[in-house]
This record gives sequence, structure tokens and C-alpha cells, in this order.
Amino acid sequence: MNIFIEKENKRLALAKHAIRVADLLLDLGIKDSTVIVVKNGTVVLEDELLEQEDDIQILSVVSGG
Amino acid sequence: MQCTKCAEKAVYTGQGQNFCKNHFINYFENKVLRTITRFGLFAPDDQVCVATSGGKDSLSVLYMTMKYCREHHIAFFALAIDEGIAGYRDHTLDDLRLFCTQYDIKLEIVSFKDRFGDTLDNIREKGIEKNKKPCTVCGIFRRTLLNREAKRLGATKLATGHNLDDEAQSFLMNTLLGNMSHNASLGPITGLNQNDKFVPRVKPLYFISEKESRLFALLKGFKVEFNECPNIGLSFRATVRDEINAIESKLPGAKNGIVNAFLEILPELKEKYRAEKSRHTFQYCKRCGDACSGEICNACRLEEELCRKETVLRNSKE
Repeated sequence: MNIFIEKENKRLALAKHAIRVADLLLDLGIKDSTVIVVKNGTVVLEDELLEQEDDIQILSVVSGG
Repeated sequence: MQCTKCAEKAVYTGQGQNFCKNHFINYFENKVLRTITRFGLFAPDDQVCVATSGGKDSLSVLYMTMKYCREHHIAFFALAIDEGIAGYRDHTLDDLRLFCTQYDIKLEIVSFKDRFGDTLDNIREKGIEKNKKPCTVCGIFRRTLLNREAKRLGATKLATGHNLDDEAQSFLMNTLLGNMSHNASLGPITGLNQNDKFVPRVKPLYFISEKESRLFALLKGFKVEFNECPNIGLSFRATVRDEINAIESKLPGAKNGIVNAFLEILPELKEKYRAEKSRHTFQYCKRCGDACSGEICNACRLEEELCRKETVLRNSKE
């Protein structure tokens, strides 16, 4: 799956068949209170199952300054 | 996860409820409108100035102020400060211009360079007082300009995009530093005593978390790009922010808990420090005439310091 991490302006290609949002954030060391996760253009919650072909954006909610 | 109120898929979970897109937008708007009504943030004869930057919080507060003011026939406009931070503020101001054109909102932009003679980038470069961080300089100049310009433009209220996270951070920062008198100036309406030199500041997003604010901006289709100020890592606020976020992840609702606990003690704090402050009469800056605690205000002191640095730099080049 393709993952874009907005805060770091970083793109990752992750070879995972299926993973829940909560586990993905845990793997990436990102606190769920600081991000919104978008799957294929739709906002999803922590229980959502992400699959290999999904396009994921991890948007930062932290203020700019 | 399903929306608590309908069969749609939820995009938000919090406070024991799950909401789909439409129910989240309703929840968000009602929460802000209730805050405006509960604390009497806007009055019918107000002229509201919305302090904006183009970020998610300021676009959300501008949108909600617009919604409330247009419904209640209250005059309002947007004011932005261009500090002169290359690669940061220029982007957010572009987003803001687009937003104001789209919603037909009057926008005023004033810059540090026009009003204080230089950009924040250059001020930082000159190394104004080694112990002062750019955020301190920026904070003093921004606060001063917002008040001065709002006043000049006839505003009777200054609405800011301060949210639940900001308030929880400010309360903890002041508490950790033992500055309880500074906490007394916080709250949905800031300040302790009325003075005709200060435009009262109000916070319509007081109970809105950063996550809710970004989600609202996203679902409403506001063009907001993530753009972190390059100086943020240098601030004490960033440390406190990260710690509170770590606690919130382990204990959802902690930010609400901090702010609600603070609101319980706020009336006593205001009473105590208002009484202390009222024993001292306001002084007025000898240079600009603004109300301040010394002979000249912090902004004028910084401006003078900047002029001195400029002279030293010029002389060293000659």
C-alpha cells in the first residue's frame, strides 16, 4: 500500500496484505490524537482494515505555529 | 464503525459518540455556536475582527464567525499578519486570500515589515537579544499588531482561532512556570480588566480540539495545506503540546478534562488577580500610547532594540 505522511512530506510503499489503522499508526510510531487517516479519499477510523491496493494519507492535525 | 445517529459510516469518534460526515459537521457547528452564545462572545452592535492566518483553525473560526454574524446581522472582517517567514506564511496567506474571495469576506493584511520595519526572518538573522527566541519576538509583535490594527479598523471584538489544545497547553505552560496570574487572563474571553486601548479577544473554538478543527476544514473542503512554522521546534509550547498529545492518546478526553477543570477555577483566579491589578493604574507607552505595565511597551522596546542592532550592523560594515 502507498502511504503519504503529511507532516514529514514522506511517501512509503508498504508491503502489507492487510492491517488495521490503529496497528499501522503503532508501527509508524504516530499518536492517533495527532493525525487523521484518509483511505482512497475517505476519512477512516482506527478500526478500518487497510489492504494492499489502498492509497493512504496520514494528515497532521497539529497547529502550524 | 457506524454513526451513532444514522446508518452511515463514521468519520469521527469522541466523547463516546461516532459521527458520519454530516453529523460531525452538525456537531462541530453546534458546539461553536453554543460557545458563542454561552459566553456571550458577540453582541448585536459589535464589529468583529477575525484574526486569521490561513491555517485550519483560523479558516474554521472565520467560517463560523461568518455564519453566526451573517445570521445575526453583525459586521465582521478578517485581519491577517504577515510576519515575513519565507516558505511558511506566504503559503497560508495564499489559502486565506482564496477563502475570503470564495466567501466574499473583507480581508486586511498587515506585515511586520510595513509596521516594524523588518521581516521576522531578518530579525532572527540579526540575533535580537541572544536569550530571546523567535517565538517570543513574533508573539509580542503579533499581539501588538492584531490589537492596534483591529482598533484602527474599528473592531469591538477580536475573534481568534485558539482551540481546546491551545488552551490546555497555555494553562499547563503557565502552571509549570508558576505564572498563575497569566492563567487568570485566559478563558473564552481573555484579559482581566476592560481598557479602551485593548480590543477584547474571544475564542469561538474554545471547546474544539485540533483534530476536530482539521477534520472540519477537510470535510468542508477548505484548502488547508499542512505547513509547520520553521521556528516551532524551538518553543516550550511544542514540548508541552507533545506531552499532552501523548497523554491524550493513552487517556482520551484528557484535553477536555484539563480545560474543564481550569474553567472551574477561572472565576476565582480572575477575581483574585483583577483585584490585585486594579490597585495599579494602567500606564501608557510613552512611544506609541498603548496600555502597558512599564514606561514603554514590549513591542516598542523590541523595535528600539532592532534599530540599535541595525545601527551596529551598518557601522560594522562601513
